[in-house]
Amino acid sequence: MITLKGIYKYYDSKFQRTFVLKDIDLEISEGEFVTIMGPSGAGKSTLLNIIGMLDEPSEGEYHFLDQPAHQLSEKKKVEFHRNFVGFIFQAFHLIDEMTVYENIETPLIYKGVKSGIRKGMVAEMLDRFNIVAKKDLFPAQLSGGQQQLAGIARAVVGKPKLLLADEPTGNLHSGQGKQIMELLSQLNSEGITIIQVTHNEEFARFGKRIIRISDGLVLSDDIVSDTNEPN
Amino acid sequence: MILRNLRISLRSLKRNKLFSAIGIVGFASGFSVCLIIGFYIYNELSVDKHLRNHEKIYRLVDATSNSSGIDYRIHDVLKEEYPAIEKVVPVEISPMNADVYTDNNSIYIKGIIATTNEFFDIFGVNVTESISGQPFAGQNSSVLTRSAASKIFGDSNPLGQALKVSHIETTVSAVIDDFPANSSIDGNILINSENADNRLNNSFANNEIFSTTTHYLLLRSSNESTGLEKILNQTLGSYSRQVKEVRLQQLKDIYLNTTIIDGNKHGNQSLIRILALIGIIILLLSVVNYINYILSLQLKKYNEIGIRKTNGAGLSHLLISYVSDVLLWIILALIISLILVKSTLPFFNNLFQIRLQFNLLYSTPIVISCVLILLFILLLACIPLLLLLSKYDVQSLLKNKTVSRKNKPYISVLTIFQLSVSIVLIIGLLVLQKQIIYVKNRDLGFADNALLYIKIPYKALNYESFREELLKNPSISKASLSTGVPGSIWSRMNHEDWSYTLHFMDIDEHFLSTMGIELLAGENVSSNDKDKCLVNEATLKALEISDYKGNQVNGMNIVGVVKDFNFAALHQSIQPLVMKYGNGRDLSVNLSGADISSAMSHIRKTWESMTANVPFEYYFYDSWFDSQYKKEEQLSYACTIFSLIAIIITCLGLWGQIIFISTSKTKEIGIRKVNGARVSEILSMLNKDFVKWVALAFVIATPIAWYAMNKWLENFAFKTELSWWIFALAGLMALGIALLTVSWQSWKAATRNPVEALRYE
Repeated sequence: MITLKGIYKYYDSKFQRTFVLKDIDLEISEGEFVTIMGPSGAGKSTLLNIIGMLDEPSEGEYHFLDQPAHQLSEKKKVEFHRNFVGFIFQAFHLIDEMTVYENIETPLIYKGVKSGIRKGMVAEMLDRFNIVAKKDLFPAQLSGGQQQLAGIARAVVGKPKLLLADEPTGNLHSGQGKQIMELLSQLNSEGITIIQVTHNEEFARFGKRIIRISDGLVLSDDIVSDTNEPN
Repeated sequence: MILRNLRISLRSLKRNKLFSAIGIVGFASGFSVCLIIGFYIYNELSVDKHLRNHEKIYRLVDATSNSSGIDYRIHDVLKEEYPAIEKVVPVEISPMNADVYTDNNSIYIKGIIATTNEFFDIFGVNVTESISGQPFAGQNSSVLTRSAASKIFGDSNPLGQALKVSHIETTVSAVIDDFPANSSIDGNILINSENADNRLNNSFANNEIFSTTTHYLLLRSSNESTGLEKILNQTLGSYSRQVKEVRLQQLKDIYLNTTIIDGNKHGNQSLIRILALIGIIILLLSVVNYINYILSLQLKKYNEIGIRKTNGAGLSHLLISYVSDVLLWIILALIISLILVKSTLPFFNNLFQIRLQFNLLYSTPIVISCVLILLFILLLACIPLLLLLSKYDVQSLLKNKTVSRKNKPYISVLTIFQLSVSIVLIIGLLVLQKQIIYVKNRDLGFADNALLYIKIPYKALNYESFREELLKNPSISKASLSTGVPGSIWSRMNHEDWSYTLHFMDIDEHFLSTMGIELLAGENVSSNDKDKCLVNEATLKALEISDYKGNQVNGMNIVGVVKDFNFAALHQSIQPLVMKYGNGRDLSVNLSGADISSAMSHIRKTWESMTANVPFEYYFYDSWFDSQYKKEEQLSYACTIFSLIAIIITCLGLWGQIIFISTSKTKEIGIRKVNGARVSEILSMLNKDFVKWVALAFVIATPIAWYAMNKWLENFAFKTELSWWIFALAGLMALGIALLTVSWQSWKAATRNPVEALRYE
């Protein structure tokens, strides 16, 4: 599903070139749950942003579903965001002026889903994530965990193929974090491909494959063995 | 979709209540001022355009004397000889007060028009009642406007009643509607000028006395005007030797053209220009405010746009949500403006002495310009969004830190612009006030204090015995009869070889002492020598003679020289004036040292005993002279009010800036305070920018204001100086206003507990 070949990302300043990613080769197939780990500044988020087409590689090829994503037009990228990817952020990034319901509904509106169908889809999400009672509240009125639930609901309401999570538990305490991770596992078991970035060893093991990067280079790429799976 | 967006926009408005209120109210007040100014200008520009035929109506203007008064005798020629002319009508307007008598009443009525029956047809006048088929039933008929009829005759039927207008005996034969406010032809009593005795204006030239009038022409088509003008100039001379060169002036051009001498009602073109300028400035100021607010609020928007983009929003979605924000602002501002306009219109009507109506709002040009202005703002407001999207990718939008500072130079430029405009306006106001005080307090060269002017209608009584009768009262020591008095001298003479205009007065031997005018050399005029005259200093200068002795002016021997005194408003320098002995009926009475109220009652009693029911009218010179500056005072009122509004809008802008700066620097302030900064240091950090901006604005504004005020003062022959302290004062005022506006907010930010500011990191 995702093929990265020789991806470089660097920034040129006056006197030197700073590399964030160096020669990344990566293959991720449909249905995987991949965790990207590494110290601060290693390039994890940049890699995730490139995969999510929020950022462009400086060099290299990126194929998404056999399409050359590094050559996509702005318009195609919008289509990509609408139909294939959902994002979850550390800071939740809900829109303050919208209720939970409206936040979840937003991607469907952009997708052009009809009002009647939209209602059903949002209701299903609210139900599924147990936040029906909160649907008319604003983000500021929710706890962090609840905000992230709404964030996930918004990310998956459009039935994306790929879910990108940038430290989804970073702003949550461990109890809420675990709940969120279990939810992600469950979504993965239903067929959504998930790539998450995290600092947390425990949460990393919810993934089925852990890629460790440091200074822009892939250090290791391991399949999580069943014996290591957290209990 | 749009409804949903508006709902969300409304929430974001509520979230930033204070900020939004400042922005919207600021914009709304600016827009309402523009609307009112727009109403005023539209109203002034639409004068005479209500007439169905207005494009085909022209009048003849004498191109050599720049006057509309032309030999009456060419009327028949115009009617018969030129096929391009469909109809022609003589209209002579005397805008002065006329004394009017009925069998048992006498009053002054303003505005007499001498014309013919054609008038009512050409100018679409609605005749409400009439004796015969035509408004003027005969040569001695008069026609009254409805309001004049009720003033003169009360409730009784005016038709068929006798009415004496000055010395003209008439019978009322019709009543018409009052002239609308937007008609440049205005009057209350119409008399028939087919009767040669009724032609109001006479001229003396080339050794003959003849009547003059304004000839209005209704052309068959407005395309024929240039051709007709040419033909008229080639042929008219053969019909009348008094007509040299004529020009055709279209009806709609009359109202705002004050260079041609006529009796029409005129607008104030310079007021229109200044107001239009102020309107545009205020509009710009409020648009600038508005854009400042948008840019300030963007800090938050960056993030939101990033989120929306990751959720799959296309450019159109982003634009729609952005536009709905702006649209909500505009709609709210529009509603507030309309309420403001509706409620303040009576006040402005009072200020300008006009009758603007709210339904001017629905006139096409106003609607179109409103829509254009709002569209322009909408477009302008969308530019930051488009720039943003083209410049930054989603990632940096989500981080939202890299971009926030980049708007700073843009915002400073806008703020400096606002401050410069404010400083120019403050300087303008100070100079305006200074000039008005100057002209009002200037020594006019005659004793205008407690000096009374009484207008005596033609043959109302024996002028000289009235004067003598008044002097019998011990408190009245001086009184003089003249033709023409300071402030109203109409007799003048031009010559193509002269670089000056001579003004003439007939005075008696008491004039100089009554008016307190100093005789510099020679002797006073006396009844014995009627071919001798006095001149003022300006005459000597104009004639280029150093000594009056042995010199003549206009065939009269100069016997004395008087000190220059102002006999016209201070717009003009003092012109050459020639005073000869003559019998006049303009009575000046010096009441200095007298008990004015008892003297007045004596004068009134004497008047009533000596006249047959003639209305008594008088002015005091000082207030009469001051009334000549009505235009300047009106301008000063308007400028003061509009400038204050502009300054308030600027203050709102500054306030918004300091709120924005102090919030975006919350963290910095916290860190500085934790590291030991004092409140005063934080205050100076926050206010530093504003002081810098005011200083820069001052540098920009001073030369502009200096140039503009110099230009304006050129309108006056007697003008105040542009002292340096005006500029200094204006700068200090601007600084004071700016610091006052921002300091409260800075103080709040500086005294906040730093722990609060840093907690959410």
